[in-house]
Amino acid sequence: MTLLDVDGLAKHFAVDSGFLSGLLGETRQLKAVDGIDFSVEEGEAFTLVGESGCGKSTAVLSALRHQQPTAGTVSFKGRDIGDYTKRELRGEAQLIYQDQQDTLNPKMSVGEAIAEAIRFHDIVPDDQVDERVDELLERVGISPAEKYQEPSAFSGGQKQRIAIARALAVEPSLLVADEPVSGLDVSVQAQILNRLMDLQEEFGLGLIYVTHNLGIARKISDTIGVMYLGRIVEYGDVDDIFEDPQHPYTQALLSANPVPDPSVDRDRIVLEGNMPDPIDVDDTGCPFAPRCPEATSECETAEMGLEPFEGDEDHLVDCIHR
Amino acid sequence: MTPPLLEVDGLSTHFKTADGAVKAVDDNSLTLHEGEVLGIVGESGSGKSTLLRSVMGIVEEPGEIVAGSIEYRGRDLTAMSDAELRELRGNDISFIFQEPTAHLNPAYTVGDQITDVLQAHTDLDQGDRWERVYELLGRLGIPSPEERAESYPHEFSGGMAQRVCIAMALACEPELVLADEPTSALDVTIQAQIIDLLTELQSDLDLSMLWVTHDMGVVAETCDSMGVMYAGNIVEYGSVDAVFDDPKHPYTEALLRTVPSHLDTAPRFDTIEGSPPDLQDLPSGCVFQERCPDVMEACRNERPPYYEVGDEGAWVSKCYLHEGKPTRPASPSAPEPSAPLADSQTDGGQPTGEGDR
Repeated sequence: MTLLDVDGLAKHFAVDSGFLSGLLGETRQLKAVDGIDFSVEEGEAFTLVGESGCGKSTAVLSALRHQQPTAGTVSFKGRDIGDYTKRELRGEAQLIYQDQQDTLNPKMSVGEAIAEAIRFHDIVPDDQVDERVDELLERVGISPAEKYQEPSAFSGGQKQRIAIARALAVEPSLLVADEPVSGLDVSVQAQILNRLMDLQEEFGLGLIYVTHNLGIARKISDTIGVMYLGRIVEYGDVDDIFEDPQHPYTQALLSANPVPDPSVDRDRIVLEGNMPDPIDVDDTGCPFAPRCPEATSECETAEMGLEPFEGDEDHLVDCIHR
Repeated sequence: MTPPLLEVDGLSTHFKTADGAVKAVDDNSLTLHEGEVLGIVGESGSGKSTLLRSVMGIVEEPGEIVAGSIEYRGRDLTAMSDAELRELRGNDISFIFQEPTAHLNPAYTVGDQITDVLQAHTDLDQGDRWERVYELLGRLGIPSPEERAESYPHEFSGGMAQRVCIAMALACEPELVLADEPTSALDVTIQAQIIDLLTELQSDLDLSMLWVTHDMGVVAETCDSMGVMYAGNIVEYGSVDAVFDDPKHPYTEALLRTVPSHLDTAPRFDTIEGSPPDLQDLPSGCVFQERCPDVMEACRNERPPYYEVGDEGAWVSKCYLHEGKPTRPASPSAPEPSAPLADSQTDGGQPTGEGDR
């Protein structure tokens, strides 16, 4: 079953462009997300990968109505996501953020935080809540004896485990994780991500993962969308894309990512310049063209959109040269 | 024989707190030769930044170098006056940091800031100083240097601001560059630009570099040799090719397995169970004993010495697995317990850990 189906999603922000243009009635638009499509099936792990400012976090937040999108339709389990109440939606889709400092109440014991979520969504009868809290903590590798502690008693990695326990407490069908381990060391990251993958598989959860880390994306995903400047430029099976990337941006990104092995001799594609500000983007043509090693004059005017690569409906590329 | 460019011997940097000393750097030795790029790699809290800051002479209170020497061309930096250090830092040794904008003054144009450095450390007249600024900015790949020299730091993107900082670090033609995670705050495609640039400059100018990073991929791509740090100790030290190919210390081996690579197709991440020890309460034996798959009785009793695991002591590992191999005489094993330090009390001293990310 398709959990989430996103079609033509856009999120633009009006930018205060100064006194004079204000007088003239001009408003500039920052196009954080500019028309993207993706879907997540039950049990599927989908990753949005991209560099900072590409719009990957905004894309998931607006898809799940944490922000009001500017355009596009999103359906969840076949029903328009706008028809869900907030409570219904939180019961179906749970978010885990990078910094749990902001989401765990510092004055509430972690056990109580998890119990609260269970009670709010009526997951089990009241007399079974405690038992459920203990089970959940055990599942993420935290001793239930520690449940009376406040978040400050835990390390960053432990807080992230607790956040996962709390997210699972409401028995969602979709988990959304936005760079959940990027503040942590590699050895701690690995433990948490393995746990997350085990739980996701066991409960058959849909997972949307957001990251800039290509090593993590490779392992955690079934499918990925590579984002650049508010668009998905390549979409498909993670192994297909990592082994045979087609979009020139994906090719550059993968080739530039340092590999922890000095014996691997790679031809790196080093792009020039920066990803431009999403405010200054021209509406016509390919947004990557100014940095693209393969750009031609046609790229400036071409009609863009994801198309199957060599007829493969499961590998989509947004480039007129493919 | 000329001495190596930089020789650190038995260096310990501790942070005094009310609860005892936090041993951020505990008896470490390393040698950097001219034209060499040495990477110090480790996880946060391993002491790598404190090690670098000790060499820079900018350890913050309540941190203090409690033992060891840091010799630059045979001159001990720990014994120098502030004035001598300032002189050396401007002319011979310079720094590049992780957050470029934190090390630029927001109130002055970047041109003014670089000319200030040139004024303090060179005899160039004003016109020549500005010429040098334009030349440097151009060399660092900043378009229209003459216009950009008039810009303020906030007008630069992260990658461009790091180029400005590198320009400033290279202004007085240093021999040694100390770099603390210089590319870690940057996106992959920008990081690739800065890595390429630094590698090119290093080879053109024959720079020597001490490069601290948590990123094994960056070490593999940029460094000649590497030291792997864990809980205040460099546990393995050798050439990048050798260490990656056949890591000798169990921690190095574990760390290399754990690093996620986008070329790795295994279904799960490799892990190191457990967590690093408390730097305030390090075990008496090996610092990695609690997490080590090969732990033996000897590991619990005494800190292992450096065993030579390659030719001529250029590759060493602090692990009893290599017992029987020669130990490195230049580096004694565990230091005497620093009793006076543990006794000393500082008012309101906070355990700062280290200035790591």
